[in-house]
Amino acid sequence: MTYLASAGKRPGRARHLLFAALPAAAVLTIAACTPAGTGGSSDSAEPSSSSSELAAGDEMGDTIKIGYIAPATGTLAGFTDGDPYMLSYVREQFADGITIDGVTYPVEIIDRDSASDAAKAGELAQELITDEQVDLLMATSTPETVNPVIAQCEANAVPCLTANAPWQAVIFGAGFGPDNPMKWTHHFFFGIEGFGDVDPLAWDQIDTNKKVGVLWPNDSDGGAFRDPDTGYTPYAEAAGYTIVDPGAYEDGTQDFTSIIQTFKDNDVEIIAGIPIPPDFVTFWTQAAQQGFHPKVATIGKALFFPTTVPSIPDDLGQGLAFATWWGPTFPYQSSFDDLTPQQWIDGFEASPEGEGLVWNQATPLNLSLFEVAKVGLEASGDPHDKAAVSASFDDINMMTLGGQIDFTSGPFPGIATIPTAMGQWQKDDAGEWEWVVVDAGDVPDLPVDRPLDILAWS
Amino acid sequence: MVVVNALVQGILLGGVFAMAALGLSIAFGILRVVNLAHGEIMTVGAYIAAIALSRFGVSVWVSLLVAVPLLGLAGYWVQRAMLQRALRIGELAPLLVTFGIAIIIPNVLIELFTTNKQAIPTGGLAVSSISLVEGVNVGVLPLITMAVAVALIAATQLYLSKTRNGRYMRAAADDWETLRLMGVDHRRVYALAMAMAFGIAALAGVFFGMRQGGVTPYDGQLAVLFAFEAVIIGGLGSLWGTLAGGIVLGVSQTLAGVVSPELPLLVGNLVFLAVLMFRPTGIVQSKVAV
Repeated sequence: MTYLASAGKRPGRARHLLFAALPAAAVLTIAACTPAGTGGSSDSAEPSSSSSELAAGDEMGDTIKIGYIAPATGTLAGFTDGDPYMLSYVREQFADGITIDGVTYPVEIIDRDSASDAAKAGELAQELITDEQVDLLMATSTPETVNPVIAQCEANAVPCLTANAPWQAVIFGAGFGPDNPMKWTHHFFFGIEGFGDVDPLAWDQIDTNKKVGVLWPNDSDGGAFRDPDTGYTPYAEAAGYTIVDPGAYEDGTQDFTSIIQTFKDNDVEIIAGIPIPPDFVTFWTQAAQQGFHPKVATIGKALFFPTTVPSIPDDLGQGLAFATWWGPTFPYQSSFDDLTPQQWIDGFEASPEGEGLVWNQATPLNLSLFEVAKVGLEASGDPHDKAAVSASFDDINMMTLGGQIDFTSGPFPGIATIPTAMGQWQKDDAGEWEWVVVDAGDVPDLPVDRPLDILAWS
Repeated sequence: MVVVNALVQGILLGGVFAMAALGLSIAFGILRVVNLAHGEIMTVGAYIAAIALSRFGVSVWVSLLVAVPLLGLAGYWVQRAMLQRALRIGELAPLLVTFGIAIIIPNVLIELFTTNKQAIPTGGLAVSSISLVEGVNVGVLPLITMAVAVALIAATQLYLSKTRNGRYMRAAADDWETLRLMGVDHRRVYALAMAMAFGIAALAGVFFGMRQGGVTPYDGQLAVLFAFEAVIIGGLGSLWGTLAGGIVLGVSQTLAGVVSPELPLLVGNLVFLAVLMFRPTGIVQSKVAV
């Protein structure tokens, strides 16, 4: 995300300048009615923290402070637009505190906005650790947010819980490895295997010449996919497919003519990759213009955002497939109130915070962070004993709204992976875009709606 | 044939760059204001088109009739109420004001419309193409974009050279104090020029949006980079220079792409740097304004 990352510096200043430029009354109005992304998060602690009240008669412990850092504004805000609803739901769940061995502890959740800026995420982590003295720090959405927070937690010996970033980018990207494991951090998400295991299952459903053209940009994700040993190629080759890699184009490329030419010259019939949304739309539009018509396309990242596909001209998004980790039919259940994915989506869409928004797959995992946090804190015996809290996460193997989180059998200490399935976009009878499950992939007991459709080029 | 194709696609890509650069060129050539918010003004133009379509069912082309005058009006008052005042503080102050605007706009757009992409559908237009010869397909939308860019530059050129207001603008660029002595309110002339710059930016933004199928709050940041490069390559303040600059930038990107997909943006930036070092006045000699 080369250009996104550099661009992400501006919103940090943005808020300050915006605030400085407006009269105080207007600032208050804006802070009070933030519909998307910024709700509840602000630079001062008061409006964003909520202490729980205690029932009389309990033995009372000191308040447990949980820090939560997410990109609520800026270029990554699409990951967190469901967070205002999620946080108000979580605060309700923690309203009566947590009872551990007969002692009830009030819980304070302190949420902070990284403004999609890696440097700011690190500063916030430091502030939460030293000034607020949090007992547990959490971070979510992309390595740009998660890695700097993990670095602070590891340096200051504070328990850390993170999600929504490919685990390879967290482990290798932050300099951890088999010889240097994370000591204080637990992270859950899928990695390259989530694409590499599942994409071929979609390709197998269509008769092709097994040549896969890939769009791996010159950013951290693209580099991880291109790695010949730990990347994507071994998965494709194991399934009998050949990779055609035109090279590492820059994010923000305006013309894909030469890449399309390379695909044509190599008779590519399958497209896979992890382009950023605008690049994929440019590529796909130009492919149509220049008469390049692959049979299957499995695209990560760009199709994660629910508004990308409807914006592709001339309904060319019809039939695009992607590795997915969460949807209304996934057989998951929250440890809060036994909520199912469909119930969660219904609740979100009916809430004032969800107005005008489309549910996305990131929010449920953000809720899972709090579910895991609660169980981990309860199991620790003493929530203010940092070593005990961190150690208690090692034994967690639980069902959450975002899926089964299992730290006992991950690929690395402190890593839990979640399974993926294959979804395909289609327009329903009412003309609304939706995606359906076309292969259950690694997700156990996931109902498959229909087989994969071949891409129809008119 | 691969090279010919890249050349053709590059020239057409230049059309969209030139259109984005034109408003920037006017703002600099006449007002000497480097408008850092240019990309964000484009974004707002595209948002107006997207909202007109999704809320009121107005087609993109009709929405231009709203977006262009609306932002023109905005440009007029931004110049009169903010930039002209800022100029009293110092020469750099207007630059900082536009920087502030550039930061405020995406954040306001997020508050109003979320970060979700707002679609600007054009039906089959964006993907339809004409086959020139075997292996060279020309997209219809890029072709229209190019035609509109050329027409726009020609019209602006004519306006500046033939009309009374156009002459005032050129005069204001050269020597506003003398213009004022002649009884013309230079502030009004400046504001009109900024209105033009904003209106053209809105138009360019809509075409950028159509190209990408829609618009998100931060799209302006990349657009303004290409616009700046096209202006510098073509020559600051030169109108036809923006077209030349856009085409040079477009062609250098697509030709570099033939060599290797890593190169387009890098080579585009290198060409920009080379022009800045070896021919800082740009490749086209300025005939207007400067």
